Amino acid sequence: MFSRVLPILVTGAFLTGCATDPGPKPDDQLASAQSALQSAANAGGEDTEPSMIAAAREKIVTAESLITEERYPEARRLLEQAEVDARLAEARAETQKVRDELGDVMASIDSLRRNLENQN
Amino acid sequence: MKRHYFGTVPVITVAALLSACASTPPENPALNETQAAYDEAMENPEIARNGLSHLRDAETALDRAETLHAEGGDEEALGHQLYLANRHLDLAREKAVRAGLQEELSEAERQRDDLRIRIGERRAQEAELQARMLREQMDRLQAEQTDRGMVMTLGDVLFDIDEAELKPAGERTVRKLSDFMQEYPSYRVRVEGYTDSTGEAAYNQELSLSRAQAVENELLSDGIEPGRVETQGFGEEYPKATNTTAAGRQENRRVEIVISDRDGNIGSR
Repeated sequence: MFSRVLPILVTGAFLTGCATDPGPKPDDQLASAQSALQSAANAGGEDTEPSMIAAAREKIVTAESLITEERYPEARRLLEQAEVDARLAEARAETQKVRDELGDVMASIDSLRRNLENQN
Repeated sequence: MKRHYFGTVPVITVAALLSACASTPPENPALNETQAAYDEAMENPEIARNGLSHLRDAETALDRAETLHAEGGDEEALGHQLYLANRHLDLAREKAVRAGLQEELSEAERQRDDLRIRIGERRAQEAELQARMLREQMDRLQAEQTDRGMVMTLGDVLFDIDEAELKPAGERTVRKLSDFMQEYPSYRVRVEGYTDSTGEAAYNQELSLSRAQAVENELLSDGIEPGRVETQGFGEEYPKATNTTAAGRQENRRVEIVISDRDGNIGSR
């Protein structure tokens, strides 16, 4: 009897392995996404790209609950997206800093020019 | 499509192998758009220079998307790779924008520093001019540098003998001082009267004060505000010369006008 059941069990195990294997738990992706989000927030991304930051945060929250349900592939995708969202928000915040600084310098050029003209 | 970058050869090979056994999959507009966007970014020298690592990431995602498309498989996985590819393209463009702004910023900073230097030079020139004009004024007043500051001396000959009346020559000299005070409104003066030691000390003190006040009145009649003039009579004190000779006594009979610094502070005895 055992010799009849064993191949079926093996085959069954093999098949379920193919169909439902959720792959590895996306711990690294979770860590990367969280660190990218933190870094974006530190750079002031919240001010420059509030909706992008909010989307990234929501994706991470959703991914975390997907992980508890062992729906790893979906979680991994959301985390990968959250990471690039956060990185883009950070990049835009950094650009905004340069833009602001440029605005300050232009303003000081204007006032220096007026100063110079008034001296004449 | 003329992509010949990084790792495209294996993709093309895989795609060729796959298409050999499968029929060509239908067009995917989202994939085509991302491919076009990638090509455009690669052809932009600013993006290619500043966003190279992001372009590589975009290409990796795009390669995966193309493979998935060629396999005719998972739409969701394909969409995911396109999402990543587009974000990496955004990142590459962002780097180029920032690099451009940074160049503008450096140029603006250079301009600003240049203006600051020019303004500094202009201020130094102006200060030098002011100082020279002031020196010329002091020369006109024949003021001399002393411990108390610049001091202008009105000699005995500018007053009537034993009187506090200024002679016309004395008035003309005081006029030069009022001209100076009108031109430099922050300056103040203290008018100090002195006599020789002949006669009563009390009388001399009074005469010295009267002469100082005569000068003050002259300044006020020229329109100088009272608050800018002080007077003091020192009588026989602080002789400049000996009181034993006529020439010495004449030198001691005098009015000294101490000119303040530019903030109105007057050095005292």
